[in-house]
Amino acid sequence: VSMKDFLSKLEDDDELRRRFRESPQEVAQAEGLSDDQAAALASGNLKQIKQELQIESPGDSIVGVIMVD
Amino acid sequence: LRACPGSLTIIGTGIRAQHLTPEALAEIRAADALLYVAAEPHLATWLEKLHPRAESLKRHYDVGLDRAATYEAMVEAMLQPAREGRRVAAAFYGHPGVYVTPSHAALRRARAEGIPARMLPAVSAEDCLFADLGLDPGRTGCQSYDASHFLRRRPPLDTGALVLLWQISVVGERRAVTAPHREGLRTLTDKLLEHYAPEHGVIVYEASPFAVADSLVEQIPLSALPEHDVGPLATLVVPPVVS
Repeated sequence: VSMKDFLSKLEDDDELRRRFRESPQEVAQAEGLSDDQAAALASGNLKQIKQELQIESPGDSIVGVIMVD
Repeated sequence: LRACPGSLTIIGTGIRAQHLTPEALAEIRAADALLYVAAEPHLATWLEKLHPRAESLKRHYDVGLDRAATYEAMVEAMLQPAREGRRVAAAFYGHPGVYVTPSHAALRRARAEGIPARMLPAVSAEDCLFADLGLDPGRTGCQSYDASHFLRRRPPLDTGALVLLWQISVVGERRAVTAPHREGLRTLTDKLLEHYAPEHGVIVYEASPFAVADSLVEQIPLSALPEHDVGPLATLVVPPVVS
């Protein structure tokens, strides 16, 4: 599973989210994420998670798409 | 007039998936077409699970392209299926009417063409900011500006009020970019230093789009802002000067 798919599942799967909060690293690795991805998710740190997402899907995040001008 | 016009409903997803309102979810499910702009890839994946014909508007966005051209393409992409008689939902992250140029433009054009169009409210980054930082804008008053607008128009600043400056990573930048605009950050800091001491504590804030991560809250002295690692969606919070 990709990191973005796992994060998407976490958004709407209450049971998965509960298990993740109990054992984040183990649950992420059991879902097939790499050690670095699992560590970033377990950290709960926004910058680390975005960094790993950027490695997985370069260019997928947005800088200045929706702006007032 | 068309015999059977379509419609356009602009919705916001909120910052996290769980922010989606029941009203917006019902609109997504009832729509013939779902067009969307998601800030993060996992939210795009989630929207595509909600609607079988979800289509990202991000393809209209290109590095180096003036944003006005991107917005025009997005507006036409939202309106075309409605002109063909389809019920269109267009989803933007956060609140669809806050710092979103193409949503307002699409509403105006749809109404001018006789297409029923409306916007539903949603959770904005500013809503998250007040909750995460425990700030009440009613306490001191609040000035809130797009950072580029703030530099260009130079509105009077009340240092006794809470000041929020949005989109600080792209200050002065009209094109789509892939990295923060560091020169703009320096200019913004210089402007603020006309009103605040260099050691005045400010907060670089970014609402978390993830159910399992905290929002980013980084407290730094104002003078450190130009060299700070500012994320693409960061907001600058300048607390009031306490006399």
